[in-house]
Amino acid sequence: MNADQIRTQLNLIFRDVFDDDSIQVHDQMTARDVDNWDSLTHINLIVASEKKFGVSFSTKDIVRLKNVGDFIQLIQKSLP
Amino acid sequence: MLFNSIEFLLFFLAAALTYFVIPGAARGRWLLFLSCLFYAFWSVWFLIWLVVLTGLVYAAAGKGGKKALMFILSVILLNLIFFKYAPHGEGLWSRVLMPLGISYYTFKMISYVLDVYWEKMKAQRDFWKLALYFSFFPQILCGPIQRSDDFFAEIQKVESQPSLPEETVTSGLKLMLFGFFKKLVIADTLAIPVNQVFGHPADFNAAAVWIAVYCFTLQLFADFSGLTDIAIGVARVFGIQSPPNFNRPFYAPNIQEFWRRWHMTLTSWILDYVFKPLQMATRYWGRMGLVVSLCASMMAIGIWHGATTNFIVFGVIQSIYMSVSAITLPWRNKIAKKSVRLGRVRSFVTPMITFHLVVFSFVFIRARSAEQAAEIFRRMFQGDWSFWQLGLGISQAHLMMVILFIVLMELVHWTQASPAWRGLWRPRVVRYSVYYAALLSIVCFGQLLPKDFIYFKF
Repeated sequence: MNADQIRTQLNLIFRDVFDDDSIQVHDQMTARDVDNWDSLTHINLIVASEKKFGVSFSTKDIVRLKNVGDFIQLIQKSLP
Repeated sequence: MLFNSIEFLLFFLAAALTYFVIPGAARGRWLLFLSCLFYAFWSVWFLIWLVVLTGLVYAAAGKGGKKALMFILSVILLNLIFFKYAPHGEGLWSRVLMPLGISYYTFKMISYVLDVYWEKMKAQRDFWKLALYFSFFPQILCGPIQRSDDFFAEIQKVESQPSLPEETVTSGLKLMLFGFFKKLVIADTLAIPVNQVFGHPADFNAAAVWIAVYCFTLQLFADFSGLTDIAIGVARVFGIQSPPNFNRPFYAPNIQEFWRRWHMTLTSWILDYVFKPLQMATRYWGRMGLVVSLCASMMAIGIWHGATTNFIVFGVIQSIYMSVSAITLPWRNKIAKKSVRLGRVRSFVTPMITFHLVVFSFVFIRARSAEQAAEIFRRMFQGDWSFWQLGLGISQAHLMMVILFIVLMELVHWTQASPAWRGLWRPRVVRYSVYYAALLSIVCFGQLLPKDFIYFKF
């Protein structure tokens, strides 16, 4: 799966978690760019992404993420 | 050496004057020398101990994988537990036995070790830079808890500058002045009624106890934010920018936002090194995982203050606040969005509710024990409400004057934080009037006998 495909799937996850169909993820996106992106929705994003892509992240993976672009790269690296 | 002492002012003067004349490339090492000197004033033995700990962290960070990580974290935490929580008696004896700034250098050591382990940064190759990070004298007493990569970048910056920008130095001095104003004029004056009432609550009526309870929250803010301003200001005089620690916390609309604005560097530390790892570990537990992570984080904050019953209860109360707020916030936001009028009322009412939740919980920080806190709450609802003979150790006129100073303090905070109002500070006559007024207030109304900063003992 390439980065664009991951981004498309991630967009659906974001829209579902935040209940907002207007969200359009991009690589520089951070928590500041999305209303209600807090500790609860953050972990929901991680769990939803793990289930969707069939991967598992470590704390070390997650704490280093600075933006959505980093998350896409992490997912790509974690895919079997 | 407390910041509000003659010894510190003389030390600061000598330190700054020498710092401005030495070559740029030597500034970092000179700051380390100054920090060691500052620490040695407290205890040479604890300075040696700090050097030993720094050596252990330097040797272990980023090497040997998880086992080395667990080993060094255990050493750091055992050091903290032994010195901070093992019973050592009270008063001067406890001060002799407690390393200066142990809480704050512990935070820095843990964050450095974990950041290296998580590969957020590379291990520092220069021992002296690591030693400076842990011992940096403006931050060792009470923070702010600056992250290592940020601090190392600041050191690199000051060493590469041929001379320190004048506006950085003057800005640091102005911030120190504001910090001293908050501490000496506001916090130490409010301490008078607070100490009276919390010392002997049974001697006071309900009105006096309520006043003291509000006064303590304001005293704590003025004391701690004043201390932080002095710490940030001192560091800035030496060209080091520090992270902010307060951002108008009493206007937060909910308790999560309060903690994002109060002791910000501690909250951010707890978030990164306690909450997020726990949240990852419990991520499949749903809302229960969030509650467990929040409770553990708030209990850590409570117990960090101390292991007595009052701080434990403080942690429990904050855990309940955070859990309930975090779980219900999405639902509250949804309801507020349905009506513009409701949204406006909410924006006015919620900060007041949050403020009072905080005032209530802060009683447990000031009280000596949970029992004493309970007695304070009992006195708040017993006895008469006469305002004529409160016996607070301070006249009502003096109290009103301090309240005026608090309003002025908040005006400064608000105008500096708001881009729309920052322009008010542009005219020189405005700025210099405020500086001279602050200085005059310190001379005329300041409590000039050195008193401990509240957060110094944590």
